[in-house]
Amino acid sequence: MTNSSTTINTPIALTSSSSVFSKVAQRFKMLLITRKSLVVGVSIIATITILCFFAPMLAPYNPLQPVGTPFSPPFHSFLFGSDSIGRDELSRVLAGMKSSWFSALEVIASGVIIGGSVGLIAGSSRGFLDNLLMRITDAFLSLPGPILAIAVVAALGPSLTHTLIAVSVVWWPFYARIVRGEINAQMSRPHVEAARLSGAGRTRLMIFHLLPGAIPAIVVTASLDVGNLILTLAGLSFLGLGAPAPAPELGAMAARNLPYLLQDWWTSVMPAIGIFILAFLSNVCGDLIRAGLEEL
Amino acid sequence: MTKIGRQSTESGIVSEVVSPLVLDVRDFSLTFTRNQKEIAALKQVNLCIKPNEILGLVGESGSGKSALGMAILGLHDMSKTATVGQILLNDTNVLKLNPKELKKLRKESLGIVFQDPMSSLNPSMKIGAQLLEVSKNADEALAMLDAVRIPNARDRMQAFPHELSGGLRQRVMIAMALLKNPKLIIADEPTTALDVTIQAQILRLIKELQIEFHTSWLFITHDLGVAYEIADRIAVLYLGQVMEVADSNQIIHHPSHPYTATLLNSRITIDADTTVAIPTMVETTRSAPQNIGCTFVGRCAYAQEICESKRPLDEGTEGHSVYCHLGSTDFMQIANSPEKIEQITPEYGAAILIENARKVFTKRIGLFKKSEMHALNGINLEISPGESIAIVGESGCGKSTLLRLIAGSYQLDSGSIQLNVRGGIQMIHQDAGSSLTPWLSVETILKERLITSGYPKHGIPKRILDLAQSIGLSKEILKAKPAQLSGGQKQRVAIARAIAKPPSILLCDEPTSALDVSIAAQVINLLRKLHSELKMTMLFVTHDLAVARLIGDRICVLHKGRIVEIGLSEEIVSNLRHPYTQLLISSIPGSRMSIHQNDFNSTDSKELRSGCSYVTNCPMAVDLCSKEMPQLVKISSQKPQRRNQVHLVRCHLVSASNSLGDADD
Repeated sequence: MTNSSTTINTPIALTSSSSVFSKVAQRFKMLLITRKSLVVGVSIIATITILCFFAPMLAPYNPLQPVGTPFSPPFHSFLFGSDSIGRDELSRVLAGMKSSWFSALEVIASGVIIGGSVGLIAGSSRGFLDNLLMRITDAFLSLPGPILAIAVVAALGPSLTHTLIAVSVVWWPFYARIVRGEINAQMSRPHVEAARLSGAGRTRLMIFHLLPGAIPAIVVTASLDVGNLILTLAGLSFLGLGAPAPAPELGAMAARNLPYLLQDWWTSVMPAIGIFILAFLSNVCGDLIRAGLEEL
Repeated sequence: MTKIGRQSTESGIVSEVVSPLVLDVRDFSLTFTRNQKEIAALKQVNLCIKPNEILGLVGESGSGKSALGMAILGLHDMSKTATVGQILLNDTNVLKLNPKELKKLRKESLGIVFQDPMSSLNPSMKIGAQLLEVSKNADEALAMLDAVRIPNARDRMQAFPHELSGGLRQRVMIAMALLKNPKLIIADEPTTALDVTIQAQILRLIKELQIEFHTSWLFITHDLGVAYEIADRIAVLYLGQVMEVADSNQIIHHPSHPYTATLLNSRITIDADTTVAIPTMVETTRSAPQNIGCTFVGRCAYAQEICESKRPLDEGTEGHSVYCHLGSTDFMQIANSPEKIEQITPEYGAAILIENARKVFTKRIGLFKKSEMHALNGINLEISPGESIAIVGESGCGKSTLLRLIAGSYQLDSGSIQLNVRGGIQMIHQDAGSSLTPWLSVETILKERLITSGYPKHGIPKRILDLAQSIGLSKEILKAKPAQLSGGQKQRVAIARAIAKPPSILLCDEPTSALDVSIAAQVINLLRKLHSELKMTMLFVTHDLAVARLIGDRICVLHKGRIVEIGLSEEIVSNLRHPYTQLLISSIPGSRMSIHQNDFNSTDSKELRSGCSYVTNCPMAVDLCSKEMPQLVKISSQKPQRRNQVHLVRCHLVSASNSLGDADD
């Protein structure tokens, strides 16, 4: 008893509003010491998101309009050179990174929300509903992603939105499986039985006593998944399944400029580097976040 | 038996000397560094073990008892620990050895037995192969399995660890430790994870092996009773400081240190006074800085100024060390008078009426096969409102299943359970820590219970404060998460949640078995007080008959899903009839009672469909016992006041003697 009371006796009393900021700063400092890798991982992802959001403002030129001589090499009049019709490569890569990054986040968000809800309901119900939901999940898992995307685009016409819908449809089942597993593990823990006996209803049980236990697993999976998705979307865009022609998309830019690879290499290598940076950084962050959460 | 050791004297001359000690720990201090903080785990410890001696090392959690065991084995990460003093094992200072020499030492002269044999045996290797890693000789390994009384030893060599029961696994561990013929075996809580009756078997085995093999043992345990049962001498440790070392009889009957005395007082014995609370340790305002003063000062009722500023030295006599400034006083005598606990009389009628309750768990093996586990085989029980009943049994007897059926967590397979409840049912779990949602603060947990039970919203904050106060929790704790609390605090929070809105039925599933002795006593006192104040019906599951007697108006003994004996607590303890109850009572550690018991089931109990469930272990079994299941029969020693208070026993021997009308007492 004496041991822990020393740790608890540090006053968490209410303080005046002026010291709230310093309290938050102190919390952050503590977090930085105890969960260094988690903080670093999350910070990098946040930084990329902010930079991508403001990318069009950082871009020196309009990415859709020709602004100089075609095939101007890098470090001359343009930092990344210009493409076959004289558009600024840097501006196009920046705009492409923004669209890639946010597309990936959108698919992941839809996966977490749909898959998370299905997993939460399935994991906490057991029996018939669990079986039904998981068999539906299995059915979606068996859909081939790229082929579904091609079919959707063929039916509805090429558009980034259609691609994203097609990818989202095949993406959520992974989250459903992971969340269901975590929730199922939580269900057999005594705290759930205790909460149920103390009167918590089904919804309350799911939101307050089960879901928070699955969040670490969701965060780790999602952060490791960003890189994966960026590559998948870039691959689809490379095959022509993305936003139509003038739109700056990294995969499509790499694909369309492939014929010039030998003479004017920068036209397709620069977008590829953009893809590489995003995928690499998000994978590193995913690992950092996982390590940070495992330290708990 | 003498040991020859090499000792380098101060002049540097290496001489052969005859040492009388196997282990000699001199002024040993150990400091860990964790998160840039220094934690003194052991403080100037002095201990020794003579040849062919069992030293019981007793301490509560955090006392450093395992740290000492690890230090003798040289298992600490030396980059994170600092040591002062010496640990002499046959005159070799363990602390000065390099890793290679340490490995050799461990291989040749040390044996280890850990608490959990399942995790210390390799699950993917057969027992025989694991034994052969220690000794290359298969015959020797087999002989050792026989020596630790493992039946069919030759067949067991081919078994995997998971195919053996907990008791057998621990025997295998002991056999592995003994195979090297070590000078010293370190046993770290080897019986804690076992049932009481199995624990009694293992303790008896160790005692016999000590005589047979002339080995010295360092027996680490949290239970003074277990230490008394097995050890020749006992050393008591508190927060890294040795409190008292003496002969076991001396420690138990004439403790000279206030800590030992209070520890003994808070032990629950079979003859404890049921009308008063168990004396527990006090919390004092005194405190000692980490490296000076007595570590016990914070909980010592007799502490003086000097205890805060100076570490006590050995003030005892020859062969009885007492580290206390107050000298060797008989502290047992000057214990303060304990609080009275009011007894409540149960009302008439039934709060819980269980009729022929059955529960079978089925497990699917493969695609078509199913295995059935009969958890409850027809339980009849009537519990009056306001009554407290203790349900006693070993793991797998169905006692927790019964609680969960009443709580509604499981569904009955047949039979019925009628509940007459107004205030609802609440449950306190064995592991309080895991019964509290880890990411919610104590306040949120309590608030949730009040909200869901329809408590008026504006009154909630005040009710939480009142609750905390009545349960003995400080206000600061309300903001903490469960992981920041100690074991006792977690259990108090769980109790606070259960009684936030007083339930009419309180189910307790071994709430004290994971706690230290002194904390367990506090929790039991609290539960008894609440029971009489709130007039709840209480079901208390335990494996300890002494606790059962203290807390229950009645005791109900379960064995393999059946009630084998039930009756008023005093009646059960003084006039017990069933051989299994006898075994349970004689297995209470510290009683030093020994009873003949068949150690092993000759047949697998699962195959046995007819006959008494206890027949395979019963020393008194007759032919009839294996053929026919006995019925519960009345013992007519006294006419009870109530219908549900009659003393019932399920045993052919008792029913036979009863029908002849010769009550033999």
